[in-house]
Amino acid sequence: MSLSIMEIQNLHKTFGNKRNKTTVLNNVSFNVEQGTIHGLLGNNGAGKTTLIKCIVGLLEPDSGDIYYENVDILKDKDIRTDNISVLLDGGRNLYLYMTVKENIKYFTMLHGITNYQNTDRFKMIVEYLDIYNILNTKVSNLSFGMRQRASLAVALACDFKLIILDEPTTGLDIHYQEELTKLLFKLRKDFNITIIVSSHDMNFISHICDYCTLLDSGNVVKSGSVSEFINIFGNSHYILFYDGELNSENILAIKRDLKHVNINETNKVIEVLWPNEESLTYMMNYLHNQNIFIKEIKKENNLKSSIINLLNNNENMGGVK
Amino acid sequence: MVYLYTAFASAYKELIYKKRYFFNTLFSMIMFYIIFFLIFNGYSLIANRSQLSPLNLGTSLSGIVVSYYAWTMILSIYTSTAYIVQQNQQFGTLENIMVHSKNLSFLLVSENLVNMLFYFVFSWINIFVFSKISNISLYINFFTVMYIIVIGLISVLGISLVMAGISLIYKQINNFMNIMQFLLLGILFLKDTIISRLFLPFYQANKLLQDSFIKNLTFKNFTIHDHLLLNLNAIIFLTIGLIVFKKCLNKAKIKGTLNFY
Repeated sequence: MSLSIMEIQNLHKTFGNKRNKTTVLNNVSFNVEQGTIHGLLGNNGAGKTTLIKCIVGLLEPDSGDIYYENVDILKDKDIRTDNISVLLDGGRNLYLYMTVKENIKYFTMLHGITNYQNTDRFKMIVEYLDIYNILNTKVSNLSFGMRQRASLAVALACDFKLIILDEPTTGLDIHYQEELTKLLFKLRKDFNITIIVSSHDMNFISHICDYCTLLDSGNVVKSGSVSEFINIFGNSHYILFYDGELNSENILAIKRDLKHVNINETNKVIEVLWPNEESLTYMMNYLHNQNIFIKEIKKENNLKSSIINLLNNNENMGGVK
Repeated sequence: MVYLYTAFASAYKELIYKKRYFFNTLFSMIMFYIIFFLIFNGYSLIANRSQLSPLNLGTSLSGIVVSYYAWTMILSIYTSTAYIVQQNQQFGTLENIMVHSKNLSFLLVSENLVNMLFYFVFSWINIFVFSKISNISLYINFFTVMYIIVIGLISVLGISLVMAGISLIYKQINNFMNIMQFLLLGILFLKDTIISRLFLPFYQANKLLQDSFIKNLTFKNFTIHDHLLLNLNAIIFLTIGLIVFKKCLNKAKIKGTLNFY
């Protein structure tokens, strides 16, 4: 069983003044396990970047606590500086007019490390990240993917234990996304680094993460292992291809009797969230009685379907905004 | 120890920056010389027309040369911190240096001190060029001038931190900074009182610079009173600068204005 490296408790953050206040994080609580890759999922405006900035000290939360290895890093800021790094979105983490090597030297010096470029660890990191050819290249001349590699080199050089990547796949083509995925797996395995990745790319998150926290309008909808996410609605996302015509009465009846349903009359598809197979049988009987015949049933069983369901559920339950 | 390395890191980064953008630095120096040429000739013209006595004119012109020299030094430091903050905000690196640095104020102050030393070296070229343009000879007391400049500019560093703090919240404050830089020039010509020597940035330093360059006074010739005013002025403004910067940084963290634009 893993140990929590970070605990976030009741984190609350608002922007604006008393008259016009927007809640961006609403009592957010979850744990991050040591040596895992933890995904932060959510749509634009869900609060992912705000949460990350609160963790690394770029934003001051209104209330709540953030513990890193049981130390409150909102109070002990040096612990945070020594252990947590962030790669913010947009490949803007390094000085563009400096070379990769100069950036590494500068940032390691800020952490009290000198002559880093002569150490074995530096050589190992250069080899590991395959950045030897770009060491003396100015960051402004690097591609987005290579800038990320260079930023990771800085993070590794400074020996951070927790690295946070904010939307790392934005602007990356599929080739670089795959490279990044492999690299993050390697980093976790070989350096025992804990990684937090925020993204709205569910495929990327489901592929890379062990754990996941789903945010919606500043609220944690669910936090847990990716397999938990997939299983929580146990094969619950069904796509039914029907034959026949639905009249308005049928549609009203289906929508009244079935909780979460989406009907596409053009493609003759009914998309439905239902908790178990018994209920599905019930639903098919119901449709049969309505003279609707099911040609094919598809069962969606992935993180994407679970998250869509979770978000729909949250909305239908009047999720706190 | 980390603070020492922070200072090294600042020096390292600033040297790279100065090397990469050497021509920009050079042209800003040339601009100072052109402005000085225009101001000096304009003043001479007005002074001749109003028929000032040669003695008065000579003293006033020396005063102008030294005050202008002081102003160039003030500007190099005054704009520096806010410029570093704005530049980092525009590049998007401000957030990253905040994550990596244990004390942002110290990082900015040390970057500025490196700038100060850099400009101090340049300042000797300045004073040489200014005295050649004006055909006025000045006394050169290297260590005395260095002492006055370093302590005097600490008060300007305080103002610079205030500006940097404001720019953290309001981001674009260039016009305000432009007005302030001429205000700082005007301050140097205000009436000499104990209040102005204590509570105006670089005022006392400017007076001591004039004493050194024009009257050939050195460190040893200054009274304790002079030293006290110079150092107290620096402490007052640096303290104000650090407090305001910290308050502004906290405010920016609450309002979320640190991100790049």
